[in-house]
Amino acid sequence: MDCDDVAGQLLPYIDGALSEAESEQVRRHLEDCASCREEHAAEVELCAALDASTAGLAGPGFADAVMRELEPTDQPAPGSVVQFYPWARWTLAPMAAAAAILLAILGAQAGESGSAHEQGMARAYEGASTWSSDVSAVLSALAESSAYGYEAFTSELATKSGELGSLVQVATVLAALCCAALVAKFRSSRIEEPRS
Amino acid sequence: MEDADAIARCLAGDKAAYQRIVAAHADPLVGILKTIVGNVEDARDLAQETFVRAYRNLHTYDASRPFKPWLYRIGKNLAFNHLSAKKARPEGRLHGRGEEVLGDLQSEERSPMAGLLEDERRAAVDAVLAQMRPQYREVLVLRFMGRLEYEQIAETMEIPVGTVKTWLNRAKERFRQLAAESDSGKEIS
Repeated sequence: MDCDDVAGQLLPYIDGALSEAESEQVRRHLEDCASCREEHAAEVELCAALDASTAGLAGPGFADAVMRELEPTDQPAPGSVVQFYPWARWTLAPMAAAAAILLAILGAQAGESGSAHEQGMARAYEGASTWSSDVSAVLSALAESSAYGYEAFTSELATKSGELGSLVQVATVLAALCCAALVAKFRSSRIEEPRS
Repeated sequence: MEDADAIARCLAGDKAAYQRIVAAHADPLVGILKTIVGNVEDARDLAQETFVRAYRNLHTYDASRPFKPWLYRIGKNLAFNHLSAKKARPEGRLHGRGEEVLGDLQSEERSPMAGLLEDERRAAVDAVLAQMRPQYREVLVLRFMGRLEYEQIAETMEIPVGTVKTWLNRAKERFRQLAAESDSGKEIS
């Protein structure tokens, strides 16, 4: 431990705030270094002078006065998880983005399959009305519509991958905007007071 | 870290936990603000306002960082705003000439005889601080009143750590010189 290291440790050493090992290091250095011993003595005097000048300065009942000044409705806003877990700042936003993209894709798929189902049902109705009241024909038409619906979903999913890709792109842009909003919200901010 | 525990309790709704924070930091904060605004009455008022404002904005405090620099920055800004809003005080400014401080101190409430020695010692320290350059005084009180580490002082004053060390060495030397001269009864021009 050199003199520069000791200089920064003198105050906590005086306050008894160092660990045993650190205190021992400082003590040994002070035994061997007259300059640092002199500096230590000076800081002891400074601490004594300035501590004496502030002892009880706030006056009795200061803390009670502060608490009375707080309105009954005063409550600090709930702390964010990022306040106590800073690593969340770098994981929550990407997780939110991934969730947003996944939801966008699933929504697109649901939309596509829904439209295929509707088309199949429309064909079933058409078939039933065309083939009059032939129940078997209607049942056959319904079976065809169901098959059509399934085939339509798979074929449309394959053939309309371009549209789905566009939807994914839109979803990605929306997710990126959500990420930006989340990061802005999770950023720790300082109180900006007007300066003179 | 005791401050972090108390703050976590405050944010969880335990308002009474904040009283512990106030009690722990009140005296040094008032002392630091007093070196800026020049009198203890204004310093106490500003310290109260600092704690109230800090409580209402506790949700913006980054618990991974030390509490004192954040608190002291709020107090400093309030103190500078106070000085800007206030007209020059003819009866004494702590950062004016040393003898002007005496007029200000006379307006303070005198303690009983048992505390007279404490008042005299406080007055002597105030007189020495009043004769220092503002930046040296600030770095000195942040270190020895506020017990801030070099990095925390740098954060509070928004200066590099190297500058903190340089100013602190000069401030300590200047304080010792002025204190010695005060003891010997010499006037500082």
